[in-house]
Amino acid sequence: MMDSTLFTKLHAGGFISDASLEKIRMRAANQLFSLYWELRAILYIGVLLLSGGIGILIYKNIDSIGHTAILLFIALISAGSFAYCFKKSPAFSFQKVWPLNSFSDYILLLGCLTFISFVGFLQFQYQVFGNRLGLALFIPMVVLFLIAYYFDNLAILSLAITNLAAWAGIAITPAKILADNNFDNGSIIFTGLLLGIVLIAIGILTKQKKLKAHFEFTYTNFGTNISFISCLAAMMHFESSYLLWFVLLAGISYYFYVKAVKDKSFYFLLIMSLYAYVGVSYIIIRFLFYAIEGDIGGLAIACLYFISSAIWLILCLIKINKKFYDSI
Amino acid sequence: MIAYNNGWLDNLLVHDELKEAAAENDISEEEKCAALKAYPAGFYTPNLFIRIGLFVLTIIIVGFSFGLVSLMALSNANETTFGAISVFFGVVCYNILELMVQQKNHYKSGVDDALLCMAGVGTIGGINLISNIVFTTNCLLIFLLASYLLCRFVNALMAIISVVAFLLLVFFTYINFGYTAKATAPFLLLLLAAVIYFGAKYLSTQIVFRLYKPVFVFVEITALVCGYAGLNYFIVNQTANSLFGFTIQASRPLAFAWLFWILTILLPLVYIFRGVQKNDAVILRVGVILIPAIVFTIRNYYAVLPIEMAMVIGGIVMIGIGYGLIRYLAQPKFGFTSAALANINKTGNIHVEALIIAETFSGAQQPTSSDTNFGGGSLGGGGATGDF
Repeated sequence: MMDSTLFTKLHAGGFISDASLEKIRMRAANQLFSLYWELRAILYIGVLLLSGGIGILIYKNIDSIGHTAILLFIALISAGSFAYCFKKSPAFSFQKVWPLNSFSDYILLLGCLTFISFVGFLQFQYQVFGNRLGLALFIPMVVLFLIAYYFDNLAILSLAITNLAAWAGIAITPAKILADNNFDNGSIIFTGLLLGIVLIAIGILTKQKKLKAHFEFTYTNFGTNISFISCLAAMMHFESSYLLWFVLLAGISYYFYVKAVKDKSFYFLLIMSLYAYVGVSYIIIRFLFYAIEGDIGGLAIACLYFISSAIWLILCLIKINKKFYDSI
Repeated sequence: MIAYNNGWLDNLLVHDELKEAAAENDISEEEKCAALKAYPAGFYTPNLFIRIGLFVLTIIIVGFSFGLVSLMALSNANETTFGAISVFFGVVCYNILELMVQQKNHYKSGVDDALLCMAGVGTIGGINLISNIVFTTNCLLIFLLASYLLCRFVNALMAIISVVAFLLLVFFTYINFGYTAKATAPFLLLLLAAVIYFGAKYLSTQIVFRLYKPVFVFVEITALVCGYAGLNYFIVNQTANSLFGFTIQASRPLAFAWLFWILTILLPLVYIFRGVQKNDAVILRVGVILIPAIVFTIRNYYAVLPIEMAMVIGGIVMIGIGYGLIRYLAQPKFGFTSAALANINKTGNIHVEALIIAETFSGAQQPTSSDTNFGGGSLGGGGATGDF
């Protein structure tokens, strides 16, 4: 994309120095084409296929091949992957550590996935953990967290957090958070709320104590979404106390509004606005159709409400966007 | 022709180059700022997340306005009324869009994106409600409208829609000309796709069309994918079965089956070769993405290996290729490197990547989490080890 004619023009106009122009010309002459994301995609698909294939292999042959052989096979892949990563990775630090290359990232992922299969297989075949199924999720989770911190890997951290949620009984990833959870159930709601608050708290600690401060976003992101969704679900589920839950929703929203303004985070501003908007709209709709039982007129008022509130919210977002940019 | 301020769009191109040069440390931050000031662009373009928010909210506004108007017309509601309201809304959206772009200088703000989509959907949807037009007429209408919006608003989605609508229009018109036409239709599609691809490539180098450069990329991608889809053995076989009125016989061989098989396998490889040869990211990536299409097509007809063995071997091969290329390109060769360039926004992409990985692999451990364990699980945090 580099075009040195533009920069020649800028140079003539006195905007850039001789040295800068020379650098531009050098780079335009040796234009490099990066295959970084293509290679990561290839490795991702490779790990996806391999770990999935091994999973099916175990499932299909669980009765024919010896269990020990399968167990040994998975353990070998897992241990080999970890050994490679230990050998190649830079020393541990609580600061940001860049990995050597994409390959070790994905080998680490392979190691973790095969380790999860390994523990799952141990439990399935030998009932190592007896009836304590929770423990079969708890141990991989601890290992995943340790690995995420040791190798400074956000993908493994996300896996560890999803594992933590699974251990608590909740699916937490974007596509499954609404599809796989039955939020019409009090205990799921409370667990989700508790999990969300714990994750947000860990996020705050992570940043304050500077223990891998760049992990904060991942914790806060999962925590925010699950707590907002649980809160909205609670409003709809516990009909008698919905105003109380609305107050909690307002509290969380306010917290994230302050946080978004402080961190200049457009992302948190957006999700906070949308979740809060859903909450407020629920209250309004409920009022229109339950309290005053307006039928056609209620419908018209609801339409008017959505039109005017959306316009208002647009104006707000535009204003805050401007405020963020002005202060950068 | 373009609704946005053309001078500003030109300056945005300068901005992109300046930002890239600054990211690569070729020019200093002060130089960048000074040059940016000399090439002003007064568009209203908010942050990406704000754009998403504005998009959603604009859709809400238009949707509920439609609801409100329909509500008033509820007394004499029939398809024609709704169709008329819908077309009316399409036209209104278009006018507001023009106003927003010209008076308020909205550019990729979410508001203009949403209004553009609603203008198209409202008009086409309304026309279909009013009269029962046939598929090819629909294609023609969609093609005309999308190309107009593409020319006026330089929108990627409209570029994709107009290419697809055009190819469908030609295809479904052509196959009416009898047996030979049906048999040669895939090649006509390939020919057209090639013409569109090379046309877009040529035009994007022309200085007159410089502002359309970003959308030409989408035209190219669509043409490449459609060209392949038209020749893919599986798609041709399925289409042929329905077009020629064969009774469903999945394994019925096609005439010239060998030709389609060769092209199914060869075309993505040609794309990759061309991409490497020309250092062209677009065709290279399309080629790589189409590799799974080859695999799935072959596996659909010939079960070469049991699925798990195919996956394990495929996985090992992919990881091997990845490893080999990373090692081989550690020092840049032939203009390729395995390292990330500075202009790639690393941190943002890494968060997305981490989410994708968590999404795809989190299913693996779900089965073990039975519902019975759930109650104790949440309080087991401290107790789990203590109980033991």
